[in-house]
Amino acid sequence: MNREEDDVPELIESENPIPIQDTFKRELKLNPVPVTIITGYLGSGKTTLINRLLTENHGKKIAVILNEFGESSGIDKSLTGNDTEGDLFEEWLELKNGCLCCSMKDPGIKAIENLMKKRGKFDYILLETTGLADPGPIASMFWLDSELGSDIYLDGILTMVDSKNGFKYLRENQNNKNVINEFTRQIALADRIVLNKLDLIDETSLEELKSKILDINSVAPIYQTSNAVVPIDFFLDQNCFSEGKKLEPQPISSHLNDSLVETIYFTIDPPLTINISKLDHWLQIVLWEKNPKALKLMISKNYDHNKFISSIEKISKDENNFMSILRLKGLVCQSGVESDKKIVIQGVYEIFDKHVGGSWGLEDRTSRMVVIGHNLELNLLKNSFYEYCVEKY
Amino acid sequence: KTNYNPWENYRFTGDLRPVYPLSENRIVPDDIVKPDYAIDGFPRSEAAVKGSTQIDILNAEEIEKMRKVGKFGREVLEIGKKAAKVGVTTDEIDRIIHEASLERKCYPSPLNYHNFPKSCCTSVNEVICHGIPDMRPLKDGDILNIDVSVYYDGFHSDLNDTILIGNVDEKGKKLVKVTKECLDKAIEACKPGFLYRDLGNIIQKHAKANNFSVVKSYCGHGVNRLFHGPPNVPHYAKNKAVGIMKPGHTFTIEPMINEGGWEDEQWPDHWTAVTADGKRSAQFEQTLLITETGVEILTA
Repeated sequence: MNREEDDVPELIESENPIPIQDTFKRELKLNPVPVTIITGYLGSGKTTLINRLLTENHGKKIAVILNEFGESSGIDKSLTGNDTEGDLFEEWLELKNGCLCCSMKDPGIKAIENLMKKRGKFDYILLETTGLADPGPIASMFWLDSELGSDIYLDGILTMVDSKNGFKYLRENQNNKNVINEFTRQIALADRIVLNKLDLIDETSLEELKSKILDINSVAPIYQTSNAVVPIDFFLDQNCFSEGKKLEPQPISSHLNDSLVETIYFTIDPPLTINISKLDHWLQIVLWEKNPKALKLMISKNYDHNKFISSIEKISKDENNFMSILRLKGLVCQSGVESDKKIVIQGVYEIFDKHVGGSWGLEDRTSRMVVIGHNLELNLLKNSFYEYCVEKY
Repeated sequence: KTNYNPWENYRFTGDLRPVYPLSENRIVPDDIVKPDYAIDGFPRSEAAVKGSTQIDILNAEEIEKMRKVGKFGREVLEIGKKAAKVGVTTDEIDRIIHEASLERKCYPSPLNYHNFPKSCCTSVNEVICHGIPDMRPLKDGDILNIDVSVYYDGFHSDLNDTILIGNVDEKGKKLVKVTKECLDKAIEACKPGFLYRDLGNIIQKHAKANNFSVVKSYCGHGVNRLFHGPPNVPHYAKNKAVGIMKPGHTFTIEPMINEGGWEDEQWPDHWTAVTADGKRSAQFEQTLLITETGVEILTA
């Protein structure tokens, strides 16, 4: 081969070449970015909160994905560091504090991953849903199987509430006994709730509204404020779908709960261990089959799961009694040699997941379960769990 | 008429190139019953149950119809496979499949489904699925997947096979063989009470044991009155698929297995799925029925 002395030497392929983009990709895989879904009616303060995040010097690199851009979104154009006259819909805005804002009509995983490929890694991603949305389907979409090795993961759902109009929204569609309205869904599915516009509601009404919200969802922490002033660490980086935290219900004064959706909480006391295969059957019945008759059979100790499933269609169904679960969270002490490893359970509508959490160590190993939904009976859920899932030696 | 590559600036992941122009839209005569999307491309009956995890349970009469359309699907696919030889274009295979469907008074389900332009999918080498039949002649050494779906008397069936064109190298043959085994092993496990989410564990285990990877972006699906409905059937391990198999369920399992990595990309036609690393991918698919005691392959 004839070569000039000045020629650039030929590159030799190394044993295991690692192109530069791949190290960035690998870093993302090792440290995927948390996605927080923010929901709430028009006027709840979502936009105010978002504007704060995009202007304040909090030192975090947040990508905010809006449902829509332009005049009606309320996002202040003067936030941008540069002159943006052009079409904002396909672009993103880089804000003075290092954050980024863009709009996506139907945000998908690929779209967001591509955004990060172009714009670099963020500390957090905040995804805004439309005002009337049921956050369930969007959450399910972002609640990816870890096998997929995505650059992002679902961190939690934040629901903003307009205190002034809270009662009005609670009562929407109340004539229809079996329709769970959007407001109720947004509360039920929330991992964190912000009760906003405190300045527009009196003390008594506030307590009443809070207790109605707690009736629906007794476990989501509530932050009360005006003008959407909320500390970032109330709702970002909370790991609501991976850890079994915040399962204890908040205390409510006793009163009549007339809500369509309520929170059921039970523990296994004393702390016995749980058979994980049977736990899975129980979850399949509660979340997929939804038939209380099955739970009754589990209590009777005559239950054969496979037989039941095979013949389930022949059992008379009273669908009015069927359970309808919106959210389920649990922390369970498993039986067997892996007993020291916590089992965390998460569920959104029919989708559920059990995974290994940290070690119990010296912590109290009481298994506990939170179920938020409609047509729930505490005794049925607790006793069927106890009779069927608790390991019998 | 000269053939051309419609996307000169696109960075293809492998050697395969589209050969345009596509042939003209094929006609389906009026006496053949068409699904709702045949007119405007939009499957409104599917949209109506979008997000639902409720799996249909077919009665005896509906099961008979599925058996019939399953049989037609297999007949049409075998006719298409027979025509696939070195030098034959994928468009020609599409024409033959289109005509074989009409002969059986079936509507070719892919046609106009979300505006898909042809009557079957032909996926060569690095194409994972949804390849659009075009003017490219098959080459010696290609592996080709033909995916056929037909619609008859209100029901769809869906099936596909990967075949060897001419002399295929050892690795290619192994890929095709292992993919078929992945499907067969998954089918063997099917019976009332088995969880849809566990099929992926079986498929991925066998693929991994042979140093192949499993495509994650495309899944099996319920098939009966709807071309694609619940359940969603991922082929990778540890997924959260909803549903327990019950007698009367009809669905597909259609693993796509890759020589290299699992990651996929899409061509600018918004249909053709290709491997990100340009290496080959094979697939097999059957439509299945869960019976009282086990499973019946409707497209055998």
